[in-house]
Amino acid sequence: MNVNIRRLGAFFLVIFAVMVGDITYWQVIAASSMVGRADNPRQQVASLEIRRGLIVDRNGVVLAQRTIDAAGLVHRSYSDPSLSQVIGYDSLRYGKSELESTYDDYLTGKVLGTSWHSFIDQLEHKPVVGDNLTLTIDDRLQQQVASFLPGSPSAAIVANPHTGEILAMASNPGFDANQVSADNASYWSSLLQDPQSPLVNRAVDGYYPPGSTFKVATLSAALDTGVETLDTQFDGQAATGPLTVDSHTFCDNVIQSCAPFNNLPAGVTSVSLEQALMYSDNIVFAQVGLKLGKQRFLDYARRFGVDQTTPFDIPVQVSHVATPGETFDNVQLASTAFGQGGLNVTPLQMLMVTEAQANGGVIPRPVLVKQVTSPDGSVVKSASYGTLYQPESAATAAQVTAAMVQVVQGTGGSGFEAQIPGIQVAGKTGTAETGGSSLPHAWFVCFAPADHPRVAVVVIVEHGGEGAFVAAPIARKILQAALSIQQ
Amino acid sequence: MTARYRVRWLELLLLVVSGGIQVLGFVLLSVAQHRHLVTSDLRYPVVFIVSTIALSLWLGRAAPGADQFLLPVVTLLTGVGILMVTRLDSGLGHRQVLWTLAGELAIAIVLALPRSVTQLRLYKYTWASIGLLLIVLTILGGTDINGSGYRRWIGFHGVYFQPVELLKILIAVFFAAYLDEKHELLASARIRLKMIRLPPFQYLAPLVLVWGLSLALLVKQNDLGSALLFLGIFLAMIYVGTARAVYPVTGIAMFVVGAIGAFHLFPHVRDRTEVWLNPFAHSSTTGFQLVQGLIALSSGGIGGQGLGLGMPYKVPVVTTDFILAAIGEELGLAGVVCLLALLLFLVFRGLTIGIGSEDGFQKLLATGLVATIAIQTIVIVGGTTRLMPLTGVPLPFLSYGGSSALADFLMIGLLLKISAEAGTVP
Repeated sequence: MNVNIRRLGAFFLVIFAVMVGDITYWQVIAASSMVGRADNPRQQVASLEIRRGLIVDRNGVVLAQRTIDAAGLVHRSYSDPSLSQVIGYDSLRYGKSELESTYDDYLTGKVLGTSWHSFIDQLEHKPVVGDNLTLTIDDRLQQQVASFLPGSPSAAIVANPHTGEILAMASNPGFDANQVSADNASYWSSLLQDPQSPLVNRAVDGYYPPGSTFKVATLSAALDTGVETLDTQFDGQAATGPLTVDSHTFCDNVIQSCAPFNNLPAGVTSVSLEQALMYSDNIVFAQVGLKLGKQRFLDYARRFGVDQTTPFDIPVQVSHVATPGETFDNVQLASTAFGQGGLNVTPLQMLMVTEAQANGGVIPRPVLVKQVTSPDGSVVKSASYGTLYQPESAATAAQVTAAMVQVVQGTGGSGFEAQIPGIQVAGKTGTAETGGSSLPHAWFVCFAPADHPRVAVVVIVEHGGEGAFVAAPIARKILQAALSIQQ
Repeated sequence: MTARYRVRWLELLLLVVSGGIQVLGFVLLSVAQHRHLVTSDLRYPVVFIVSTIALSLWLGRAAPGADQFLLPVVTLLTGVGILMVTRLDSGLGHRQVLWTLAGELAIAIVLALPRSVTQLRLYKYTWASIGLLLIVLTILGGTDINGSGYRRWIGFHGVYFQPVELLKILIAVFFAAYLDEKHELLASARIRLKMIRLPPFQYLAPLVLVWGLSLALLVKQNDLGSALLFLGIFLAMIYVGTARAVYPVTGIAMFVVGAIGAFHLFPHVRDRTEVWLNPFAHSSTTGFQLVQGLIALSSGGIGGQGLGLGMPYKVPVVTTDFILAAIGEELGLAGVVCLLALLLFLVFRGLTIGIGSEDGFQKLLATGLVATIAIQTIVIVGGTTRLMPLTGVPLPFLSYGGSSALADFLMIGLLLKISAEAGTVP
């Protein structure tokens, strides 16, 4: 009998060991996936107890904070709806987006300082106080930029071309992050169903053909490689078209006129390269692209950041020089050189091309979060300023700037709508065809003052029409507002 | 009985250690809940420890030779149980303390009775009949206090008792008595069927009858956990009693057939099996409790959230069937493993007492009692952690439950008495 009692004991020992193994599985191995389940109420309750950090603009204006309503419920509340696609939302039901997502660990105090205070607070189970974010955004400018944009889909970015600091970033149509953070279900579903996708930050996630604004990059490549000079002359058909590349004829509507394509004023049949930029002559830039050749053109596109992931504080769509999977032949090369073809870019990408000209050939790393500070005011993390890319020489940048000044200030320049009395503006229009019967996208990129640039601006109005008449006037207002605030 | 008085020093020392751990637990809980120590929060452990020390001193007179490890281990397990129940519902904690005091009184009385444990065997059919009659009475005139749709309690004047808890002790006594009487017969092989030697199944009839009756009554009450427990006790004891593996093997084979039959016959058995196999597909309905229990366990990790700092109250029925989830969340894997180790130690101690006893009935009874504790632990821990389908039984000494606490203490009382009679002094 005793033998059997011992065997029974051994049997229980084995079963208990199996149970310990199973509990170890649930408590250690499967723990993180189980804790992360949506039906785990713990994280929700815990997240409400965290004193989520503030988000303020460069002057300390509070943009996002934790508030408790009359019913005792904790909400995230936002003061400027035009920043909803930049700051994002923080909802128990719909998650987090943009800065609220990328800086969540700081805002929730998960990135702990090494101070004794935080350690002792943790031992005493005091409520966690998150770190605060200081943005490079100037909310005064931000609100003005938002008011200058039309209500239709459009976007604008204002930046300091030397530091890369983003001073304003607006995208229309916007939404109210307060409603999302309050878990308003009907509002959320209306946002998801809206065909204009208000949740998308068009400034960094919009993906558009850049049209003629990309001629700035083509010109940079041509001058930087020495393939062309600003004085290179294009006469007759070389200026007006039609141009035939590998059996494809650009501007084949020869019976009437090539005017809508070469953009030349009536009677002009001969232009320098500088004038070609001023008038935005597609025929000339198609030839410049062909002369550069596929390899050098793609190399320069990449130097400006196209086809590369842009490091930024919020997620950025990658710009592409060609539709992935399509062959990049000479026709594509010629089209891409004047900003069409398979080329699709974000407004942030065009800002970077513009900044290179304003900043001596250097594209600064774009910065949105200036610094992260702990509740006691000490700096936890500072933005990393510096060079992102150096696509061209300072001399090339100066030459391109001179040509861009002609675009705005020159007689017959396409960007004359951006003129500001007393200040030299360098800019470039863009009118990007999208096919079909809808209006083209209206673009304008610029910086001012041209000799000592303080601000760079990019504006796009989706299907807005002519860049010169739709986007340039908006850019002028933005420049004026930005320059007056900076003084 | 003119036994000399002897202070049980080892037991007292271990009780002080066990008491210290309990007081520390209540201090941590109080600080977590109030941000500072509220002295009145310590009344439960102090009352419990003082009463246990008094019991130990009484044992020095009533049963000086009884095992000195059982009481400290049980005290620590019960103390942690009171701590967790108090943390989840302080009103229930209060009741649990009163029930454990009643349990200690039961131990004192069992040890004070001048008669030998062996005399229990003389009335084996009486015990079995009383147990079954109580269940019949419960089915007929009992109370359904938790709204399950089944009457499982007998109550008078606001005090409710679950007869099934008493039945498990009575059944263990009956099995031990019967198996000890007939074990020679059962161990022999009379019938030969070609190459296989079959045991004399006919001598099993009374055993199977009593077991079958209790099983039928439990199924009638939809108490599948207890039914599973009784099957386990039956198989463990018949194995130890006959030294023949053919009985448990036959029993398990019959169980498998029965389980497949039940799966096809009863929709609720089918439901439970489905929840066991795919809990996450039913996480908001029938699998809610199981999934929430697993989430609670996972939230605990290795070290636990700390006493009073987790959210185990989000799990349904956490004070009774799912107390393991609460312990796992707040004390972590470390706490759970410690408690399971204590339970296993208790089981081994009981088996050792059985081995040390000279009397066949006492051997079997000791084995049956600790097998009850072991199998009950396996059924509920395995059910909580998806090792087997979930059927509700209390986790011994740890779950909230008056009848369960009283019955568990009564079992410890019997084990102490068996060890005292065998004269095993550690």
